[in-house]
Amino acid sequence: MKRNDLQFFSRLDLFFIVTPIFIAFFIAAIPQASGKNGVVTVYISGELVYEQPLTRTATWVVKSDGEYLSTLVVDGSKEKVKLVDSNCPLKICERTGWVGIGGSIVCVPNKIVVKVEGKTKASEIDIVTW
Amino acid sequence: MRKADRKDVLKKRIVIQSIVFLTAILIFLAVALWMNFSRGSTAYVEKDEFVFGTLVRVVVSSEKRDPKAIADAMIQEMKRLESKFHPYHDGNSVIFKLNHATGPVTVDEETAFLISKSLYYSEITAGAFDPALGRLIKLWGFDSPDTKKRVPTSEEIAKALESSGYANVEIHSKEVSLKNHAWLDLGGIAKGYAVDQAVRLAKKIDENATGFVDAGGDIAIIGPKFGQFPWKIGIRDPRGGPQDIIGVVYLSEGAIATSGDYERYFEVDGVRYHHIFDSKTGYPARKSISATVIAEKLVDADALSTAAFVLGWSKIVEGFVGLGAQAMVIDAEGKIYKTKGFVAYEKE
Repeated sequence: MKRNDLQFFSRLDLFFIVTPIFIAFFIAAIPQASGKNGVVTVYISGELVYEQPLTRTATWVVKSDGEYLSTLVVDGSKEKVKLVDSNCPLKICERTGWVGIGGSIVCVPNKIVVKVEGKTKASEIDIVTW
Repeated sequence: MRKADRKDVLKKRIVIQSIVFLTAILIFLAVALWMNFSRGSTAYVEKDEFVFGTLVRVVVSSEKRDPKAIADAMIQEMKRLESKFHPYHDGNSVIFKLNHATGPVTVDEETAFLISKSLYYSEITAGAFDPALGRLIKLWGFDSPDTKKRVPTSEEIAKALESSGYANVEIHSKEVSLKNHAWLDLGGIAKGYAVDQAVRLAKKIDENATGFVDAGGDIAIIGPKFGQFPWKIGIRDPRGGPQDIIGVVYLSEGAIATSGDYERYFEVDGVRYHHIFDSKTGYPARKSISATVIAEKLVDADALSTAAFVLGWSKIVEGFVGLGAQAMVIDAEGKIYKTKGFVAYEKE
């Protein structure tokens, strides 16, 4: 028997061990997918009342117990949402303007929260102080 | 060694090596996938609730206790304090009772602490932070989101100022007196205190809990992201959209608060009237458009950001460093000023 045949680790063996380590580090280093797949959700007093994909253009009238509260517009091409009209006094929600993935629109008097949820890059902002 | 034996040995060796290699590959791949995806899958529970006239977002994770139960407890604590310190709603409000009392009132230890803290910040900021502007705030209509806002006449403002200002508040131990019919409104500090108490509660339930509380942009950290990374916090551009950021800071602990003129305001004839008042004029403060303060506790960051907004960039604001706080102020022309230590938080 040749000496090489009985050696447990050859150069090729090392290649097979080292390669998965490199692959592992490569995968670990990949930032999480920034895939869009955005979803628009509307909550009134914490209760989910509306949900739709961010890519579908739509206009939705937000009502509670039959009373008009506001109008939500989803621009599917820009993947952004906006409350274009509201019956609240300060119109802070209207002034919020267009928001995309990771953003939200809040109407305190009507207790409405519009969220634009979807995967964001790990490097993006966690919270905003304002 | 015979030729057949040698073949057997080689076969066995190949089988053993294949098993070892495949196992190694699977282990490394599993570790890699875990390292990658665990960053986003740690069980953070998020709970939103309207408290203190804003949307409060609790994001918390715990390995020892149910994070949902922790979030619920935190929200309940904040609601308790909102009800206790609400200046304009009756019910259980200590402050409402004080504002409508005809003489001295003995308050509990917690209320005495918060009033004393408010007066301390009033004194060291020369009244830029003032907890006794209730009459003025109500006059302008900023006492509730539902109240109609209007620009009062100069006579109305002068009259409200006679019943405003921290000099009208006296506290001896737990006995509080309000002079000249002044009204307390602890809005500039009570929310910060309530969030701090909620964070304290979370840490009491699980000292290793992590996450944060975002109370309408005023943020307190429960613990680092996934237990090891700082939270990346954007500072909103005061003249941009809601997702426009003018700076970034990294916090693994402590708190950050921003006061700005761009959220709660109304416009008359193109003039913006916001909700942070200068106690000397009775009108909305105009020296800055945004002020951000980083401190160990949100109660301090909350009060000091209001003071910095009213004062604008000044020696007093630079002196916040001596209180363990760092500040960033954007003046009316958009120029940015920072205390020296603030930049340390801008690096990860």
